[in-house]
Amino acid sequence: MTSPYIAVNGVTFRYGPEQTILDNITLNIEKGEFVSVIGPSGCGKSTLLRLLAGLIKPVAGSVTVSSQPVTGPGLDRAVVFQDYSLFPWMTCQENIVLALERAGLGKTKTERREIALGFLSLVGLALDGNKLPGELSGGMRQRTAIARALAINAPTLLMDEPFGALDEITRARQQDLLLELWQGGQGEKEAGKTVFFVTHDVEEAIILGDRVIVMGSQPGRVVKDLAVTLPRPRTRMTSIQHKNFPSLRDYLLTELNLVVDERLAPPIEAGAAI
Amino acid sequence: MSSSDDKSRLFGLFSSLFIILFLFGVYGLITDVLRIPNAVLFPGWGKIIPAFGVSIQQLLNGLASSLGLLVPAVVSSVLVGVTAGIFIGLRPKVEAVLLPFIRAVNPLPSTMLIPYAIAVMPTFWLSSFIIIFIGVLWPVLVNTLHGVAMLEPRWIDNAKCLNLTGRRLVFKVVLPGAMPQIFAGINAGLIRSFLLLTVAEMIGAKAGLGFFVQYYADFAKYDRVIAGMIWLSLVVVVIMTLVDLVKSRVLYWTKKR
Repeated sequence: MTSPYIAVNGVTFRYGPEQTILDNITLNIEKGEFVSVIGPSGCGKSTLLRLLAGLIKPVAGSVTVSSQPVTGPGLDRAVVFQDYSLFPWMTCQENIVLALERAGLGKTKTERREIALGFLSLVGLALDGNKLPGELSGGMRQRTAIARALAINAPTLLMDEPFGALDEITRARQQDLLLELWQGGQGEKEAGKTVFFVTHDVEEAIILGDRVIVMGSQPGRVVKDLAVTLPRPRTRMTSIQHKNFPSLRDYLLTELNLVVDERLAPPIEAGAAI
Repeated sequence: MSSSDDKSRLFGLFSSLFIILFLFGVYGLITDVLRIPNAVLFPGWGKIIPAFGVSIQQLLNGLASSLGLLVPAVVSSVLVGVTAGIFIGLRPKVEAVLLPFIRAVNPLPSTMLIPYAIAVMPTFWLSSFIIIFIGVLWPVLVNTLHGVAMLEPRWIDNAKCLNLTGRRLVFKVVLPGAMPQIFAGINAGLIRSFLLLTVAEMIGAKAGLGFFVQYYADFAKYDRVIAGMIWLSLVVVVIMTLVDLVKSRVLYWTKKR
């Protein structure tokens, strides 16, 4: 009776009595799985992530992580938001040091500063620790946020369109970096990190994920749950060039189109009736 | 800092100096040279500058006396205002209850309190202290509340994800995040404080810059009155510049966003 690592059971979320954002979502994620979530804007994929993070509470249903019900935010789940989750008044290093302090890692301030620097070098920012987030490019800020998420060594990573605001080349590089870091961690004695990765980019979802979950909107629900049959370890290039990639992409695009069409349908009918 | 920054700052400084010299010259021309306005109400530099010389000891004493009142009153008011603002701002229910009162009291001129303060408080110093304290408190409090309300939701989410609570939440997130608004409040409060300081001193003091101006106005010694006003403006400029320096130190991050 091994229960799934992350279990979302019949979760419903709404603002007020009318606006149902998520309707009866059930979703199981195994430990060490990398799950991509795609869907049209407004389908509640970010809301689902916020439920997992414990930032909001479901109206009905339950969320458990590692058999523990989620009652609020916790340092066992590191969150990376789209608009860089760093405090602008602290340097990159201070941002990570604060997170380490909260996670109870590192005995002294000096030790925490060293750990922080180590993770900054891991994402190629060894020389930028003393800079403020505002002095960095969007890509560098996002790498800092990822470094912080990795530094606190949370078993679960929740990423909400972390590369959504980046230009294409920067985004491609970040995807490779994330793949490298995550796959690198999988070999270690403790099973790798479980990642819940929200994106609106179909290719990104395939390149990164073991599974792609397609969500539909109004109300938000799970429409498809597709296993990504690409070998690991991957890079962005090996994924895109794999013979299965085009069919996976086309399949997901078709699914997404269906979801969007369905959403557009009612107003068109109403228009025809006039 | 780039050299173009330095250049534009130098240019600004020279422009300000030029305007000051120009105004100085124009005033000198119409008073000392052309003798157009009433010579008692508008003495020329030929009278004002010696008045400075004669009064310099009094002006310095007055400055010491005024600062001895202004600094404790403003500092304690800012501390109380910011603390209360953060305490109330973080408790939406308390804020909802108090906000109508805060809004109602904020625009009332604290000069109205002068007769009460003088009647109730045992000494002049205490009554002036209370008037300045209250006058500064409201803009600081209101702006701090505003600053807390305007904290970006992503900072709050971020703080929640890091389990930041209590003192840490206040000092690592709420206070720095609300700092731009808090400084707006401090600036507004400071301007009020100069006004209240001089008004209070004119009414009941035996020393201070406002007292100096009022005292010589009573004897129609307008050369000294104008010397005192120029001195007072200089002091205000220096204090505001110092506050600006502190502000740019504390808010270094807002320029780099």
